[in-house]
Amino acid sequence: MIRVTWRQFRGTILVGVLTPLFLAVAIAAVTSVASRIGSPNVLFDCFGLSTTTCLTETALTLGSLATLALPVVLGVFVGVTVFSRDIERGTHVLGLTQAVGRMRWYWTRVLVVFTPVVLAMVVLGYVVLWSRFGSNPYGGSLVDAITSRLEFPTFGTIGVVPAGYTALGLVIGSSAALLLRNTIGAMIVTLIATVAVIVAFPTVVREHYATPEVRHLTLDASESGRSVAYAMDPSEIERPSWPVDSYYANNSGERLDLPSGACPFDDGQWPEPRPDETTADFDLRLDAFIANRSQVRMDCLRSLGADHYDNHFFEDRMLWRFQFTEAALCLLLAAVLAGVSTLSVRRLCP
Amino acid sequence: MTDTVLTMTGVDKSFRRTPVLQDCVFSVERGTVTALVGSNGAGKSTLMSLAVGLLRPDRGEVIVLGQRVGQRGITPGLSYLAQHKPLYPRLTVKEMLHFGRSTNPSWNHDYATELVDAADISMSAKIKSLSPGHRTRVALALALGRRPELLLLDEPLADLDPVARRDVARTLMRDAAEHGTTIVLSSHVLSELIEVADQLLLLREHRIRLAGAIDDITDDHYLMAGSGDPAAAAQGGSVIAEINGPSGTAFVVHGTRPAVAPGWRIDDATLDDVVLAHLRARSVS
Repeated sequence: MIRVTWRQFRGTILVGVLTPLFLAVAIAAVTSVASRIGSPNVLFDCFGLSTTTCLTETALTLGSLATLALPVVLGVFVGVTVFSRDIERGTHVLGLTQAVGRMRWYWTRVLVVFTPVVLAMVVLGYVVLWSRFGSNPYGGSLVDAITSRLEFPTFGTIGVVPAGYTALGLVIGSSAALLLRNTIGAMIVTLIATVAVIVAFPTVVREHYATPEVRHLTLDASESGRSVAYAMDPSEIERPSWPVDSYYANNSGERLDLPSGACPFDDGQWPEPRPDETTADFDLRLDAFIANRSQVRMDCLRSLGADHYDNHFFEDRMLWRFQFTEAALCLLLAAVLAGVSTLSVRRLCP
Repeated sequence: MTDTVLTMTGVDKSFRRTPVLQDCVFSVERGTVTALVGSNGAGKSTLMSLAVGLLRPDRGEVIVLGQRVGQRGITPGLSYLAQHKPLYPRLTVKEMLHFGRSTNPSWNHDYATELVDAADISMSAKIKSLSPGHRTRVALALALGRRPELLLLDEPLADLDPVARRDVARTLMRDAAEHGTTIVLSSHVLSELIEVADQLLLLREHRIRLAGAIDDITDDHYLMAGSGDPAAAAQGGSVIAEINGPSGTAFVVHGTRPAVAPGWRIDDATLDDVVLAHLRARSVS
């Protein structure tokens, strides 16, 4: 049964496996070229003078976007067609009228066709991870330097999560094909549903995988307007955290929902250098202005009950915990959906 | 005591509230070859799909080889060839037979291969490259390779040229004779079935209207030609319908032959006459 299913879907399986693998090889090759022509510690090569480096970075960015899109594409073209092609030709009747039961017919197809495709996506996810974060502490692009690896879109292109999304996309496709029995309709439903899943995970679900860390800032620190110093040694730089919430809190730690613009900074009288003023004098006057401006705002905030400012965030070290949690959730959803779609298999008629 | 391999009792089936089968009652005895006849859309394919378990009846019971039919899988010992002869177009004939072997524990590979070889079909040929006749032969080999006790064939002879039709009919007859396979085959063309079948099931207006041995059915009917009221001339026989034959217009009557009334002539009815009359008859008859 397995051999026959492989023979029947050999073309589909090869396309589903080779597409992610070719993409992985291309990304690995471009990364290799990029590491030879650029310094691993140079940030944002596209802002420099090297067109070649910019091209390699652009290629890697496009590779990452393709990795993000592949679960949708595979769901539409592999997940749907594994059943819809048979149903539209009426050849599903042949499978349903052999001695093997309907369930074995269904699960053999799902496992034989989908498993190698999902495994190929695991390879691609790890190649993208190596490409973007293997040797460069900033990551391979501007996005990696200023946003967390836990955030969209990076998180969905690295590690095991692309494989999880793909498993879910494939099962969404096959379920839609069995339910609708119409290829184009199933493809449209799969496209919409898989995109919705990929968007829903980072926007709604992911922040609930763990309790975020909380950093308390005094009002003096949060409202002083002092700039933050960055280390210039790349090895000392921490990868960006993922901020998920921030708010003013009272002295009991309870959240204060302050109306927007409740305590605005008074920027209307921002000092300008006078013609007869030295730079040192202007700096003193400016510091005094900023200190007063901050004090006015702090007094306003305290009058409204604010005691401090809370930042909720996840550090980069949570990456693998989140990766495996999200991949497991995708596999669980895929298994549940596949189980539910066996009802469609039971009701499948000529 | 008869041994029935297929029984339907009070079976109803509708699609979107349109009735296709109503109160279907019949049984098929082991070792017989039954022709299932009906006009296009009469419900022949639906009836077969119910027997195979591809469809579930709205009401009634379907028993195949002693087991109530469900939708978990085909009843062991039953084999089915659908009207469109489903085969995977990208596979070769050899791979198609391998599919049969891997999906059926009772598979007889030598027999299936012999059936394909007898049709002079190359094992390496792709299914999509085969003619309709050769496709039917491969599909039939796939159905018979399972060594079924009961074989259901939906329009197996459609789209075949006369030579291929004769070859397929010969294969079926040989299988029935050598292995005792019970065969039910449907068609809307009676001449396709008359040479191979010994039993008849006739479907009209969603119901089984005629069932039994072909010889008994033709013996129970006669042709009556003449002028006047045919019902009175039949003397208790049931006038089925008026048909136009080579010798003019005649009435097909079911019942014991009466004494010939003045102005009327009575002849033997052929199976063609009987089937044509029953297909034409209105439901009030």
